[in-house]
Amino acid sequence: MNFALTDEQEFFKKMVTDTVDRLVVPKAREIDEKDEFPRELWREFSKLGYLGLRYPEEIGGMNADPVTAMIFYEQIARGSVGFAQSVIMNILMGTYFVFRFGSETMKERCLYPAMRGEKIGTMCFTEDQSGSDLSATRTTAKKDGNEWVINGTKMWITNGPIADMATVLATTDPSLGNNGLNFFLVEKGTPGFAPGQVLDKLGCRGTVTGELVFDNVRVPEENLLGAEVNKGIEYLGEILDEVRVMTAAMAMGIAQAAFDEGLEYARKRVAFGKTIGNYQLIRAKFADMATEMEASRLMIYNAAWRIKEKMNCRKEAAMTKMFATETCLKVVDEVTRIWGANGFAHEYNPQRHFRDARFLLSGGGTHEIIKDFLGRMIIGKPR
Amino acid sequence: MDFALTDIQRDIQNAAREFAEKEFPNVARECDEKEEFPMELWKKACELGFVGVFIKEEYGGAGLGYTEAAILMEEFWRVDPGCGNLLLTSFGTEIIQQFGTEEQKKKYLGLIPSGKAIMGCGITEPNAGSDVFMASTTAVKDGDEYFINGSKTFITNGTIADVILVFCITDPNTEERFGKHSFIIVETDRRGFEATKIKGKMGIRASDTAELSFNDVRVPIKNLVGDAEGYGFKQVMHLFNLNRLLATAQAIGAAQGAFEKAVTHINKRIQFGKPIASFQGVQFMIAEMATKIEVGRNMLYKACWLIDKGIFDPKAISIAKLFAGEASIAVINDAVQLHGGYGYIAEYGVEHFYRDAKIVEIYEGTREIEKITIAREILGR
Repeated sequence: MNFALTDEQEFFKKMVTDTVDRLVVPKAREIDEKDEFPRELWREFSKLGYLGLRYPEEIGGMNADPVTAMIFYEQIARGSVGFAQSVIMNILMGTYFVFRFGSETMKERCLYPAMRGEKIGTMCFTEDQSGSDLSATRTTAKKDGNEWVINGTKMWITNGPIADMATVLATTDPSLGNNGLNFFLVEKGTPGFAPGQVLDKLGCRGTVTGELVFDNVRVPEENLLGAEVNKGIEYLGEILDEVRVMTAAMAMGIAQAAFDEGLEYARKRVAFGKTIGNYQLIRAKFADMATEMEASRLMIYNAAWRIKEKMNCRKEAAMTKMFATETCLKVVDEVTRIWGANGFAHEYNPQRHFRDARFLLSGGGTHEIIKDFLGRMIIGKPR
Repeated sequence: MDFALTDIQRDIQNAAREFAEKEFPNVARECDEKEEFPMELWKKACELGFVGVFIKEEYGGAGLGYTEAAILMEEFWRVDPGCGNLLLTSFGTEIIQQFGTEEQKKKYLGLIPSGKAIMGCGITEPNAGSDVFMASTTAVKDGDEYFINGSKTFITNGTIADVILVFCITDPNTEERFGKHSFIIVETDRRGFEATKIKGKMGIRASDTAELSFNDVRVPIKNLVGDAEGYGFKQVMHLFNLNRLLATAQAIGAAQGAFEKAVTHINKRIQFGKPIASFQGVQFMIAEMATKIEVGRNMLYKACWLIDKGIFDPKAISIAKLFAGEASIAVINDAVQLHGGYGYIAEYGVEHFYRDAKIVEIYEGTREIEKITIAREILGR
């Protein structure tokens, strides 16, 4: 066993931590308050090359291993979740299927610009009646000659309103359930493809999230992102674990940001003649928070290591997502308590972390779905 | 990073599992009911090399690490915590190995893995538990002997040990509170030593626990652990770091044992026309239990890895024990719950875990002391 980060990983961690402290942290409050995509920060951040985090060096990426990627996801979320969601969407879900299945011309048009931040990508799963249950997807893709015709409406799409390109989940036949699903690339400017309503969210503000409408959108045959038709659910499996563990890493980013705020406050807030960090009840909160955060990180690194080693980690990834999220929710709650009434004031950051953390309850799988899944893995299918 | 056990560690794990599954069930219920230490089982465990594996080869041990010791403990507790604590017959060797004189190491350490003797360690007193500085048993120098007076309580192996390391005040007048205490090795056949078994423990009833009294017990000066007085506190902390690790392994082992019993039961138990495993409410409990165990085990192995690298990080160790203890209690509580009425009956083999596991939140540092340790590392004193 070896629980240490490599020298490269340590170096990367320091580098990205510094970057986030310098560029992102000072903007976090403004991003939250304005609830607009921070284009200027995006441009500045894009120059540093992180958007190519997971992709090979030959195409301009950083070739980061999964552990390194988790370090990045945590740090960027620590800075600003609103910004992190947009960034991670470009790094992972919004570009993966183009990287995996796209033609060279498609990559030149979409992937490489996205890695440079010149294009913004997204992935669209959710619809008004399908979220946890992807087999209920009603967006359809029909073959017409050498084109696919896509019809439907997607909901809760991260980067949706500003996306230059979307990887869209659609079914060739709704009666096939999970066995009819496919991913298609749809680019901005394609007739019939348009953003709809923009959502006003509790947290993760600054990420623009909204509806995407597909009204007889025609894309060429090669825009089916997959080696075969109707294997979408299988391809999704290639990144599902990473997405779940990534969500856990984001949870740790939020938790760490809140924890640091709590620590600072406990050290300076005086009550009954002493700083409150002297009281055992407050100290125990830090002990509990630190314990569960440490546990979460171990789960994250363990799962990331399994992904790297190409070991099965469906179960571990699901556990990690759930555990880290629940930890984060506890931490943001405790920190608002440590802050007393100030935890309730928009003037300070704890309330932002409290709001931001709630997104984790659906992103990466609700805990009801995760428990259902774990139950199946351990006990078998319900009879 | 590398989260895999080595091949040797896997072999040890399998051997421990095989031994525990084969041997423990024959005696566990009876030892629990009668509050008897499983003497024959302990001898067999020694013959197979399970006891004191961390003792160096030059002193008659296997020269393995604490990771291996933790794996053994985990596997033993998975089957039966009371019997599993036979591994604690090496309790105290950690101190001699780290701080003892060469003569002491040669004299005492080899006795333990070979099953020639049982060791114990007397720290707690009626008025000194979490606050070890309160320990008031005295060792007063008289010529070339110490004479020891005082009493100890809750001492593991108290009535079966051949040798006990006793935490005594050797310098009552020092201003330096860390320099007040020392460990003295006491052979239990010495005059003035008396051990009285404490009966009626809630769990780990096969593990021996006693009150000790020292009434002018005389031992030679060379029985002082190490070369100098005043290092008792440092030595206690070393022991706690290691035994907190083993307690973490105990917590995970017990949780795993109860969890497996629950999974078996819910697949067999039919209610409302279906195995209760098919109900979502039950599946959710199983999902949460499995998650807690998985998280706890990661914490355990990280702490093991640190210790085997020679890094004694009290925060990491306390974090592991705090988490694993709470997780274990929660998992076992659910395992009993999933057994319904059967969970409450000894015959079905799950209720004892409920009684056994609680000790992990008490000994080797209560849950509250772990929190104090962790918070101190974060917030300062």
